[in-house]
Amino acid sequence: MKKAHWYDYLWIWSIIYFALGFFNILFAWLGMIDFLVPIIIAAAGGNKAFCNNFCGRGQLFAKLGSDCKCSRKKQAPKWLSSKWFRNGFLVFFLCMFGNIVFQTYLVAAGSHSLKEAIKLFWCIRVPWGWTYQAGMVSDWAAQFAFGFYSLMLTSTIIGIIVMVLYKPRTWCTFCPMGTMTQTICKIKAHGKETF
Amino acid sequence: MASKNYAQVDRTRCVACGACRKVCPKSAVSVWRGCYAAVDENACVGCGLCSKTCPAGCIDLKERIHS
Repeated sequence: MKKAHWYDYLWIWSIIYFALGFFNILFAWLGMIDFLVPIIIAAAGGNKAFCNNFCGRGQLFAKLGSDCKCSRKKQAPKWLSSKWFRNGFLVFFLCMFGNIVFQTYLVAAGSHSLKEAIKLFWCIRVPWGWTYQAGMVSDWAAQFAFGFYSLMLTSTIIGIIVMVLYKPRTWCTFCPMGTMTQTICKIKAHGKETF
Repeated sequence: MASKNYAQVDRTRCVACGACRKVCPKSAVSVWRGCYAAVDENACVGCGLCSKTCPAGCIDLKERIHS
């Protein structure tokens, strides 16, 4: 029986994050931790410690898929974990993130007004206005929160879908953070003695 | 006595997610520098759990060749 560590319970953080954003959208900013920490660990430590140990979403998919038996545990199509799809999906996600930053800028510049809604799958608009009261913070900060929460929720829903259809951690095979951090690690490991 | 089979990782397809490492009952799998999963063939008992768990389907069980 493997010893349990504190970080084995970070799947609870995933649930807390989305629950918090349901009540106050500004909590969405906390998702930047899940965005920055993996990159810092890969760049500074040269490993995927975040993916391997600390990713709340990976743990949540494993828990729902294996422990809660929600996964069919079928092999996903090979193209989902292929280099071209992983890199293409990463580029797509970075473009979507860039759009979030651009929308934030437009609101900050006064060109657009704040839209109190989230977008699932980048196109399905879902009103989310109860989570923000005008004047809490600057409108641009709220705009970023709505956009970032949309990105996080969309990717989690995709992860849950592939968890059910295929193996529990299928999302990890094309997760943009995983692709980015593995690329960083491969660059850092270049020339080092292999295992 | 070594097991009949052992796990072998296709390093070109591995995404280094670490799912295999988590399920290995013998702690025979590690993630090398965040690049790919690596199996310690001496510690591996060929149970196949890592192969079943791997979401990329890049772990196979190979038969040991005994001299």
